This record gives sequence, C-alpha cells and structure tokens, in this order.
Amino acid sequence: MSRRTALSFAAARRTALAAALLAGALVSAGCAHVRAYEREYLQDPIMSLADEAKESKDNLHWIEAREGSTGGAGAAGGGCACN
Amino acid sequence: MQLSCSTLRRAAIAAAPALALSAAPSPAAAGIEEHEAAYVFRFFSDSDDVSVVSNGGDYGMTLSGNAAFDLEWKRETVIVPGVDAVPGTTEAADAITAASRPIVGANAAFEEFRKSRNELEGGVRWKGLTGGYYVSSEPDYFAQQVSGSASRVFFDDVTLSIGGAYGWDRIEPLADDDGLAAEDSKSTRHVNVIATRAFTPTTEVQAGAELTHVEGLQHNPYRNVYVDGGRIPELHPDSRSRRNAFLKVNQYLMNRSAARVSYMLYDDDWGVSSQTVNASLHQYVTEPVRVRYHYRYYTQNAADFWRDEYTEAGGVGGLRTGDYRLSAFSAHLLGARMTWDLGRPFGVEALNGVRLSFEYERYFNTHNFSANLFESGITFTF
Repeated sequence: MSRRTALSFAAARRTALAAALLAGALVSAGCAHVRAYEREYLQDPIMSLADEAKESKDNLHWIEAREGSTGGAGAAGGGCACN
Repeated sequence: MQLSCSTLRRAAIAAAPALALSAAPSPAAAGIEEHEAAYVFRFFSDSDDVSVVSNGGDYGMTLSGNAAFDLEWKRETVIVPGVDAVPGTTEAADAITAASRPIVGANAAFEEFRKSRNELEGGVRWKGLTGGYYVSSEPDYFAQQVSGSASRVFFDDVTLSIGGAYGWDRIEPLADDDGLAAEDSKSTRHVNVIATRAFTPTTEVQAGAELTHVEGLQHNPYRNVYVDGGRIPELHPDSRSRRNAFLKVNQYLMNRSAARVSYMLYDDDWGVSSQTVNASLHQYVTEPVRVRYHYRYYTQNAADFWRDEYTEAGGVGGLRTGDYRLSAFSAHLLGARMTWDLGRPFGVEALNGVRLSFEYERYFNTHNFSANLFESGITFTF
C-alpha cells in the first residue's frame, strides 16, 4: 500500500470521526424541541437552505474553477475541463 | 469515427431538453401538482479578458405522493482572447507557456479561442430519497456522474442526510504543439453527511462533512511550466483525496430578514488547506421583492509541489504546476441578488407565478485577478 493511500484512509477515518462527533453534538445539544406549529419563520422562503444551495451551485462551479478547494454545498459537482 | 461519436454526443445533449419537454405527461395523467420552468442567462468576465456566456433552462415537476422530477440544461461558451504581446518577445513566450488552451501553429496563440460545453442534469426525489444523473460534453472533455442521497428526520427537528456520487470523465485533448496530447480519464468518488437542526423557532444550524477522492488526469494537458531553464508540460499527481467540514447558522430576524453565516475548513493530500467564511443577509424589501447581500472570504496555502520557479530538473519529485490555484492566496467575493414575484403587485392573472431574478458578483484575489459575474433569470410556476 502506498504512503498516499495509507494517508487517505487515515484522513477518511479522522473525517468520519469528526463528522460523527459534529452530528452527535448537533443532535444532542439542547433539550427543547421546536414543534411543527412553531416553524412559521423557519419555513419562510428567505430561510431556505435548499433554495440557496440550488442558487449557489452554478456560482460555486465558476468559483471552484479558480480556487484550490471544493465543497460546502453538500454535493459533488459534475466534471468539466476546468483545469 | 471518434469525431462523429463526439458530435453525436453533443447533439444528443443539446436536443435532450426539447425531447424531455415534448414527452412531459399531462397533469391529469401523472398527478402533477405543480410545474416550474426557468431560463437563466449568465455572463462572466475576468481581468484576463476571458469571458463565459451561459444559457440554461430548468424544468421541474412536483408530483403527488411527495415526489418530484427536475431536468436542467446549460450551454456555456468560453472565449479566451489571443495573446496580447509582440510575437517573439519574452512576454509572448511566457503567455504561450502558461496558456491553458491548445495552440497549433505559429499564429494561433495570437488569435481568439472559443470552446462550448453542453450540460444536462436530471434528478428525481421521492420522500427522503434522491437520485441524479449528470452528463456534459466539450470538444476535449466528456463527463458523467450518478448521485444519490437519503435523508431522515430524527427527534422531530433533526434532519440527517447521507449522500454519494460517482463520476467518470473522458479527456480527449485537442491537437497542441507543446502539450501532452494523449487520451486519458478521471474518476471521482464523493460522500457527504449533513445534519440540520432547528434549535429555536428562529434559529437553524447545519453541519456537514464531505470526502472526495479523485483518480486520473488532473493537470491541464495544454499548460507548460519552466523547469531548470527549459519548458516542459505540467504534471500533477494522478490521485487526490479531498475533505472538508462546514457549519452554517441560519437566523431569522424579526424585521422580515434573515442572516446566515457559514465556515468551511478544507484540506487534501496535495498539501492544500483552506478556510472559507460566508455571510449573507436576506431581506424582503416589499412583499414581492427579496434581496440577498453576500460576502465571502477565502484563503488557502500552497500545494506541496507548488513553486514560483522550478530549479530542479523534473520539478518537485517529478511534479510541477503552472496552476495558480495551487499557490497560496486569498480572495474576496461581494454580491447582491434580487428576486421579484411579478404577479403580486400588478394583480394580473397571467403574471401569477412569474418570478424574475438578477444577481451581480464581484470577485478579486491577491494574485491581482478579478472577475465580474452577472446573472438574470425568469421562472414560471404553473
């Protein structure tokens, strides 16, 4: 196994652990639940994370073609000859 | 034969939206609750005088039973100006060496270069499950990707989503006088985990992590770098593992506006690590008009094999790059977007469900690179 492959497995394990901890903290933090009838403001169109992700997807495409990193939209972009 | 296959692929992608629209079922036949069709125009130009013109369409259906279907098509044309320097000068030689476009013949570098890409993406959603397929075609690049995700609500207010994607690309470089013109391929594996929780009736927090592994050709086959006094083609590793974690806080403010802040930490095994901070304010100006002001700060360090100048033969461990995206730099982005629901103020039945959008973004970085992006769109919901 090459050093790079070994590194990437270790990195994957660390990332998975960090994600699990983050998700666990998010789920368990605070005791009070927000009931369905209390979500009027959360469901306002200006609070929609999904709509923003869709709007941002194409802009991320041209930004990422000019920077060294990727991600943050929660999905992989399709390939292009952007190198 | 190769050429005819490529032409056929491009024609098929270009014709797909019309075929899909003509095949769309009637509402009564398929239990369709809502249609949405959109057209978006984008224009990008940067300080190197490179411009990109993009036309795209989107057609979506919301079906009964908590299901939806979406089809998106886009055509982009990239226009790269010719080298603006006197032939034979050092300035001209440097520009040709660093060019990320094919050059054939003595005069080609001084002429404009155009390239178009057709892109088609389809997606389906049923309850908490999604699936998608992406295909794009350029004269020298053909890409496909399948993706899927599953999400579930826990404890009434936590949504956990797990997604994945697999992409496979075929690279067929055009003829180039000084490039590596061999055909090659690239594959991408991506997984993500995202948790979203409503903390209070006005506060929502999202946290996520993503892993992406890329195998195959990852350098520009047309670009050269100076190494040890000579000019040789760029060469990047053929494997790259990338990961990031992000946190978003979404807060409703009581004057009919919302503030959003996010932070993302990224690193990869090429030695690039970056941090991104986003802040945006979303506001109703009047009932039908919404605006979004947006700022983004980005900073990254350089890849292990990046050098301003390579002095050793072969570069660093046989790797060398002329790609500024692998150097250390910071960038800022400022933007504003306006969305206008036309039907409400005019009370005209025909305008109900018609929405206009306009967006402008200004990007600049510490390499003295800057760019402008303008977008306008119209959406019909019926």
